[in-house]
Amino acid sequence: MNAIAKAIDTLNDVFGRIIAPLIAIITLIVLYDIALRFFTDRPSDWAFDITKMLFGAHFMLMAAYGLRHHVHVEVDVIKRLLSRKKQAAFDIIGYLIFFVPFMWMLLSLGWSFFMRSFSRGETTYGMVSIPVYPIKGVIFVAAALILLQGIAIVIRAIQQLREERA
Amino acid sequence: MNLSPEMLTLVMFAGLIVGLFMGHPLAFVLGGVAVIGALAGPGLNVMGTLINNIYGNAMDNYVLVAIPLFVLMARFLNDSGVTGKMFDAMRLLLANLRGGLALTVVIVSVLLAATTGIVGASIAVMGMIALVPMLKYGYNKELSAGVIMASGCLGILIPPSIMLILMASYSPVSVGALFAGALVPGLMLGVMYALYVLIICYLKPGHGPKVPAEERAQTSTGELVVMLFKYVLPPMALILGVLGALFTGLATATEASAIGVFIAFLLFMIFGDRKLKTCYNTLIDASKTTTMVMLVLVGATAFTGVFSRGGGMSVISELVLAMPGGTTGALILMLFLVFILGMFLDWTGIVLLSFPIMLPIVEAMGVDMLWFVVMVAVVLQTSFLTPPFGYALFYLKGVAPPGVEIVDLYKAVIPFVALIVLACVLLALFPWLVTGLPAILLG
Repeated sequence: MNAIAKAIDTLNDVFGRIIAPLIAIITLIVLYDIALRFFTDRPSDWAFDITKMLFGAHFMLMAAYGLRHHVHVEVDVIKRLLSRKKQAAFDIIGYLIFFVPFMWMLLSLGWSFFMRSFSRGETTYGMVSIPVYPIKGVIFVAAALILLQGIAIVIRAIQQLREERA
Repeated sequence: MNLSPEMLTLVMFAGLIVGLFMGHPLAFVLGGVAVIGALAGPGLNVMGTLINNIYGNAMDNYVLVAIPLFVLMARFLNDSGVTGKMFDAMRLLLANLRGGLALTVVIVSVLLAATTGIVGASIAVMGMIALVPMLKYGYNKELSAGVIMASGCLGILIPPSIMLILMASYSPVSVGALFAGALVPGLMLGVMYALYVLIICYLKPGHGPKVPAEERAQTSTGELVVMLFKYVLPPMALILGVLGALFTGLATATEASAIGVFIAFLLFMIFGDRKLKTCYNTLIDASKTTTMVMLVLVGATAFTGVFSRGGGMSVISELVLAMPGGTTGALILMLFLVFILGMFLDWTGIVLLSFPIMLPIVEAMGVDMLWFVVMVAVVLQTSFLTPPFGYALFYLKGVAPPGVEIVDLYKAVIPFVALIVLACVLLALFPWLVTGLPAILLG
């Protein structure tokens, strides 16, 4: 069990470290767009759409890495007062009641959202037609990664419960 | 099941509260309650629109691109190390003043606020460089901690600020107008904190003694002038570059933020350690902050989507409009709700939950939208400071030396929360403090 949790951690660590530099690429594209408009009086044909797409992909795909490193906002005033065993139990219940339905929704609807776009070969309406389906598929991929990380967290919580009992 | 709108409102907010206090991440609580609410109320078929909303509101949104970029700008500025040197220069400049160190904290925080807009970063940095010297020079513990926390929070109010960008994207007000509208109230709060520090140190000299004359004598006036030019001017250039480009209409908020990243990166290359590793860690840190904010937005989009389809919005709006006191009563009630929510939630959750519910009410009452949004922004200053869940408290506790307890911090925020409430009253009595500057700048 522990090996699975560790593998998930590693996967999301590696993936997050690859995705994070996208933020620098977004900056460069926006700067390129400004420079182009400034020097040639004509904005880029693709920068606006690509910027939005990279932004959407960046924060969605970083979400699992964020969960791995506990950056997502939570109110731990009560949790902090509890014993480790109760904390673990609260974690498991929380993930079952809230996290699982939400991820199920993102996965099932995210998939049909992607397929609808993919089967139509949907593109952007700008000067250059850029396919939209890869960015729509990001929702499904991001949800899958977040779900995996959630599984790792629950595995650890179960182990915590067992250790406390032993 | 098909719950009535009233029951659905109750169920969804009860679910939200239960999930939050269980310590589950806010983004997932919001999303989970959305699915449960959809099952219990309007039915699962409303969820089809949720993905469209998530994609449209959060991912396919050019204005929000400014959020990661301003975060990145702040991190680069932080890594440049200019902050600490700026603090030293200002401290020596104000050495002969009672409460000079506390005043330095306010001034440097306001400058930082205009460049970074990240509360956590400002408070952690000021906590590290200012709190220990203040305690060492015999400053009152509560005054020191309070002034660091309250001034640090100005980062989210004084433009450029990621909160204002998010607010603009959720309201009919433009980013430029909102930045201009929040500038005067933000600076006004800074001045109020400064006056408070000066008055209390004048009345109780023990609260904030002067810097010893020998220490001031170590740096000549000439050297001090050089220090001021070297370390105070560059951040000022950053502020002028970003806000100037935005207010003159040269650049959109997103473009201004990219320019800001560029200038901050230059500062990092001049004053920072220029290491690739530092750079990479900065990208990672900025990405973490971005996904933290944006994932709450994803969850909140799902929550409010189900809530409004289930008729919950009209339930809340009828409740608010039934308040005695007409428009004034309703406005006070809404701002008070924001204040109460601030004790438990952070600004992201509050803005994303309250705006879709409150703004239609505000519009129906014919109240100036820009004014109301800025009022919410000012009230949200308290959300960082009010226990039990005030970010500023945790940030400062994280870097505070031993001997500064969380209870000290609770006491420290009281006068500053009172000052924020006073500022709200002033802004309500003189609305031109908010609407004046946007009218001049943007016509």
